[in-house]
Amino acid sequence: MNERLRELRIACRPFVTRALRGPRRRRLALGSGLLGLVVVLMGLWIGHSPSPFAHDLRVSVGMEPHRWERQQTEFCLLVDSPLERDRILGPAGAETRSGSMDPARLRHAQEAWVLLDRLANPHVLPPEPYRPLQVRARALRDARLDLAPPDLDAQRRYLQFDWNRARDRERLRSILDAQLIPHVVLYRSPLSLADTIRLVGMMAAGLLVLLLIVAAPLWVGVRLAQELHDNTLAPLTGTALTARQLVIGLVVGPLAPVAMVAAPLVALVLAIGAGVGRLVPTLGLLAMTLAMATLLVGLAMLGALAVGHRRAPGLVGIGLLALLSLTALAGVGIGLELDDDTLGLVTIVPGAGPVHLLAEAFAPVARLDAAQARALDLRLLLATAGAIVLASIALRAIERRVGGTHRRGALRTMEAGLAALTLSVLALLVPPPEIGFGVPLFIGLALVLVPLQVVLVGRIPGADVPPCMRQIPVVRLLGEYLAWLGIAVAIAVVIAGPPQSMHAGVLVGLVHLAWALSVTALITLRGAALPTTILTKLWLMVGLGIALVEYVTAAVWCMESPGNTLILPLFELSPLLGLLQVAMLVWIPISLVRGLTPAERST
Amino acid sequence: MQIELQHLSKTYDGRDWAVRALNLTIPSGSIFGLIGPNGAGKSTALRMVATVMDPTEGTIVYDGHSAGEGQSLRTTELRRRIGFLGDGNPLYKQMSPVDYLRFFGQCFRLDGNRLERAIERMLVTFDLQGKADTPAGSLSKGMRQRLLIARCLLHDPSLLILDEPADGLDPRGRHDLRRILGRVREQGVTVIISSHILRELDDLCDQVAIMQRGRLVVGGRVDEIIERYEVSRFVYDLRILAEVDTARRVLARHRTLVEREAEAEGLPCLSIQVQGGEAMMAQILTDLTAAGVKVVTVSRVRSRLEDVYDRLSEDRVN
Repeated sequence: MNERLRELRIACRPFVTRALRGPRRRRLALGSGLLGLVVVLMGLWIGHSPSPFAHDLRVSVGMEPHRWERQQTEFCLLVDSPLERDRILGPAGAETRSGSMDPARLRHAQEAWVLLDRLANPHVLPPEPYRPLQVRARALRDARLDLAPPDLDAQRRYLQFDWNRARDRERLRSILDAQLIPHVVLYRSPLSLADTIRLVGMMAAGLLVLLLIVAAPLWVGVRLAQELHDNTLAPLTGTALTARQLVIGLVVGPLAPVAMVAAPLVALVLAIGAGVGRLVPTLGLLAMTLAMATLLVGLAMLGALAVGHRRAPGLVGIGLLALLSLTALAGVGIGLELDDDTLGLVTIVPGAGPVHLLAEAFAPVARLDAAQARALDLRLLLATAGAIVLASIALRAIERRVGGTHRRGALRTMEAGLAALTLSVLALLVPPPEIGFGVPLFIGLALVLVPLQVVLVGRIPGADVPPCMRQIPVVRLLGEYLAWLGIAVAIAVVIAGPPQSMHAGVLVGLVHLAWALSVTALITLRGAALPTTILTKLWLMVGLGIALVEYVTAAVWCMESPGNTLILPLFELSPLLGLLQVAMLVWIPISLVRGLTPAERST
Repeated sequence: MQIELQHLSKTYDGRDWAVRALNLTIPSGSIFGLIGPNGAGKSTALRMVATVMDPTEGTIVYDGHSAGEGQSLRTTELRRRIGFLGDGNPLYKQMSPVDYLRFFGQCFRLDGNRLERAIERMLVTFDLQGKADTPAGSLSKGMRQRLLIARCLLHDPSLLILDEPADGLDPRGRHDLRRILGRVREQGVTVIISSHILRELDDLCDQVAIMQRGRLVVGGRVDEIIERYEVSRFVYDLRILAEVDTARRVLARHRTLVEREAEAEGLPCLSIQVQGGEAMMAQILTDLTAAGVKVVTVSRVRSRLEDVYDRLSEDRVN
């Protein structure tokens, strides 16, 4: 253990020293302290300010209802200044006669009268406990007939009331208590000090999540691309650091400034999480964010390794920023509004889980029942574990690429199998399991196919072996690939249960599916293992298009029993297209296998 | 460290060989020069020796051990004993020489006082103290090259590999480089150096190898190579008072090749290549004197490495 720590220290020291050299360390420490302070001050301001901007922010994070909603529930008029309040109340103070009431106040009172009128109707039968409320409503309506609006019928149309909804009953009580005269209330933030502190925690956590899942992978990827582009990585590979130490250094070095900026935020999040009694979700948030950040760092490095030699670091950075921002935005969108249909997405959208846990820690809203919450917790746990597994496998692949030891592939058989298993579990957990076997399988397979191609690329023999001397073990790699897909099917059976019904058309569907999946793998092998001309690229695109058609055909044949659908769907459009499809189905795999065979390549 | 290259070969595309069947033995503590035109395979060979590139065929033996996967010597351990300056090694432009040397020193696992002493020594040796805190991007090309070489020597390697180290250095810088390499040799370090500027290597290297199109053309001790290639090549500088035309006629009669005509210290000077050895030169002198040509001095021009290289290149072209 000590030896490992020593090796880790040796790996990190040069890169961390480089990243924090000179005055950078001091500047970063100062900057991160300032950032922490700004977050606290901003949080306090947003928590207490009555300004529309602060109000909108509080509403957007679910810590305060909209003003109109509050005006309805509390039966009041919210105003922004004492001057406005005095104007509405008039010189005589709280005027209550309809003829001399302020128009806004009168409109509010009239809306309330319309509601009472509706509820007072003898045909309306509220549940037994709420009958006294109806009696009170009837009496008040009759007492204030002067508040009946001239367009009563029109207003009735927009009326919504449910006796079984607590918020509606609360609104009715407020109207009855106020005797149909809305209060005029100076608007202030409804947040207590404890709520404001939670808001500060939420802001710090939000910034931390963004820092870790966007800024950290972006910075690591751009720095690696810069090393590749400037050819400064080559001298480093000739030093006394092993490839693993070099990769650790390349990760930890750029992350050192990020860690310095994040440190006060982490302290703030932990302190507030513990202070408001939500330590467990806070720790979950930190663990999951770190796991997702590690995975995204690994993926950003793989991306940088793939294109860093050919593209300027700026371009790599723009590409990474776009992808990471999209991931984060999707995560925010899904994570803040998780429900029964979308909870499965936390396994494949890296930002969704952390954002959900962030909301759970500082502004919890109950949207799920107990069973759904358990299903979500399981997915969050699996997503975290999966991210760690995939990140460590990605870093192993990077290590072999950087060290030039990927002669037998950047991934070993077991690593690739583990990656495929993890990806399959995560992808197949996305669709709700209640919908049966077929749909989750096809959606899960479609989701897992792209990352599986990346895993397959990791199995291609590499190093600086010349292309024409490169031996691509096509049969073995195809076998492994089909085994991964077999694992995916087995997982689908475990998750959704065995198929409910089988029909003869399934066999036709399986043939289409086998063709689509095998050809996708061959296209990946051909495109990634050997140099391609423009014509080859075009041919691969054509192959991919046909594979997509075959996949959809397979889904149709497997999930339905298409009575009069033809085995080859293009025949339905035109016989010529059908014949073309037959020719493509035969020739595409042959041409791909020929392209991957050394004897064919040299001729 | 003694290096043996055994049938070393490398191809990038599987068709053309960048290095083909290179067999060399580089004695421990010697300075070994690798000479050849662009594309001869020098940089590829040096990268393979520096362990940053795998050979397609053949092996490299360091002090009797092969390095790498499944070999007796671990590559990382070997790399701690090697200083390698590759072709076109760039610097981190934002880093100062001190930070740059500290970074690489730590990558070579130096730490504490040892590292700081080594950095100070390198700054002094390579005359970089005045620019110790200047960003590398602001240094002159020569200073950057000196910094790169300093980085290779920082960790006291027993094998120093320099690919075109004199590139970008002014005459003073080259002189300093020769001085530094001489000092390095005194410490018992084996140095492998490639260069286009053959005069740099002529009296510096103990041994040289000339490569062309990936193959070894000739290799061995510098004086032996020069001796071997000038056996049938006698070149003399002939300084005369006047009568240049008469001298030319006499020389033509003896089928002597006039390589160059110039002026030395105010007198005509002919560089002639004599076919037939020293006896023939004595006969030519007698005939020149008889024809009235007043010879002031006659001196034999020893071949240099550059001449041997030119001659071999001509042979290859022809």
